[in-house]
Amino acid sequence: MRALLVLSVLAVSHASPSWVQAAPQGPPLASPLVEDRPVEAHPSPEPRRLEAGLGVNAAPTLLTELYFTAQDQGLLTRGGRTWLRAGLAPLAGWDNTELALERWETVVLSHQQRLELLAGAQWAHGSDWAAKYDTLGALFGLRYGYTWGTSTLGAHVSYQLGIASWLHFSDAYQASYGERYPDDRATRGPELATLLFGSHRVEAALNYTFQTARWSLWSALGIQASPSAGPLWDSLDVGQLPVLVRCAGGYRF
Amino acid sequence: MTGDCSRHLRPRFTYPPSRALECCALSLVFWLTACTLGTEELVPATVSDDPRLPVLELSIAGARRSLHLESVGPAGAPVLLVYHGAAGSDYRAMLPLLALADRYRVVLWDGLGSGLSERLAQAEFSLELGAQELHAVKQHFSPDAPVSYVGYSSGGPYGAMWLQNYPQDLDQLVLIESDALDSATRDETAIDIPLGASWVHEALWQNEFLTPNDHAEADYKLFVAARPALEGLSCDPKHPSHYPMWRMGAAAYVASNELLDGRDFQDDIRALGLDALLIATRCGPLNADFQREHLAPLFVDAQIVELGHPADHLNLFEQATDEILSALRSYLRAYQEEK
Repeated sequence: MRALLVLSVLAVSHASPSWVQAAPQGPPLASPLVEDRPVEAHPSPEPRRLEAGLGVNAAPTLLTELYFTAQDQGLLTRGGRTWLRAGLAPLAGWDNTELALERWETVVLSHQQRLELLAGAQWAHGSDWAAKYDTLGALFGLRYGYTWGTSTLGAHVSYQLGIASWLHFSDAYQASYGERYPDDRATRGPELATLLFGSHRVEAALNYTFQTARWSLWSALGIQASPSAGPLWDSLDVGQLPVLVRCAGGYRF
Repeated sequence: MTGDCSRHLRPRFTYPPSRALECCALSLVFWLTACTLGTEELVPATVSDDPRLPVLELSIAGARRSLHLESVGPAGAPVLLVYHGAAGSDYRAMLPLLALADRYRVVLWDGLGSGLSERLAQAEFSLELGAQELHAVKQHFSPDAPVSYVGYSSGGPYGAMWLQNYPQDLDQLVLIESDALDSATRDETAIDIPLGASWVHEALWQNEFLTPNDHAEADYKLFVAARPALEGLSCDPKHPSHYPMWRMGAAAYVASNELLDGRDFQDDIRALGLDALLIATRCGPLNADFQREHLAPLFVDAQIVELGHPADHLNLFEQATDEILSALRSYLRAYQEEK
């Protein structure tokens, strides 16, 4: 847990201005067990729970995710959750994967409302005809939820930063550097490149959660865009599709 | 912030001082390492950053601009301007046309913001700027005499945009698999981006690693997506052709598409009463039949030369080099005068 805290502090202390990531929204914001209690000005810490589930990110990229969540009594306040997510983007190819570790810490908690802070770390891998890619990233965000009965309506904003990306270029891409110089037409491009802070994304979405004592369903609809893309922010030509559609279902143990 | 590692923790989780120092040290080492590594080359540098590239500085629309440009041929020879296809792309595929330097001063260059030429912000592009760029190049190499122009693919509409404003600049016109000069027909032949295709999802997934934060990253993303997108223009889908390029200027590409949207140059070109040589393959959306239907009627006398198999829109300069050069030598005046 301390290691996780270090990662969180690193992410928060060095983040560039804006954005968030495609992390499936958390499990239910309040449980039937909590609702059975009388309303308290300062509710008791939340019970410890485990949840496992499957999420589907329909846009901008089709991404299927398996996740595990451990709910605890909180490090900073009255509750929190640790997420482990493993994702696969099948339409982009079977080697396009990600692994993320997130910490959602509840900073405001009442009977019906909850405000949470996110900090996390992520590794992603992918490839296309030009290169193989690996990225180590950080994410942080803020989420608010209002619960009534078995439903929770909320909103979240988050920022996802690719801290370091490593590119291993293909032969075909290296060949694209040829013929540039009239006195030397045989040059080739580099084999490797390292990008620092190469990926920036902001996510803002409304989300809805339905839950029973054991099962939960979660959905989100919003936008995910690169704030540094300028006028290209919605250009599909450069891979920008600023739409976020996501749903997930989980089972609590 | 790195010194505040323990400040926000509740008392029961407070780090001991040694842990706080450890946290800060780790943070410092990580960020120093990251900053030291720097950003390496992602795309070929433009003339602004690579002094080895052939470059020409010109005054265009009141500003000094640097173009990636090669000119080959006798200084006193008539000038042949060669302009590439889609905005953002470059002249690499058209290098075989340098063979015409035996009779012409052949000038190949990447348009402003395209290929390896100087980058511009998207808002700086305009149709007027495009016309002034071609006029400025013409004036630099042939201030007193009109020039011949070879335009490939979108080089057709760009040439029309230039001739609309500077018709006196032209001597002879050659269009190779030119796109239509009107927006409605161009829309019919535009390349679709199928949202279900794997290459589209690869492009979307690529945002995990890099987003279009600057020209280099935007150009890289467009370049990588362009290759599979253009494969749709191949005549043999099982063995797709690839269009050789160095780099695609994303801002120029997107701006140009927006600027040309809704524009129709047909009446202006028809009114000039020009002759033209139209060269095209026998397959693909811009083939010889397309040229006969949409381009030839705009000229007083349009000669059409068909390129044989396996030439298609992407590989024709490589696969049909001799046919193209032969057609050009049969048409261009400098070769005729010698005969």
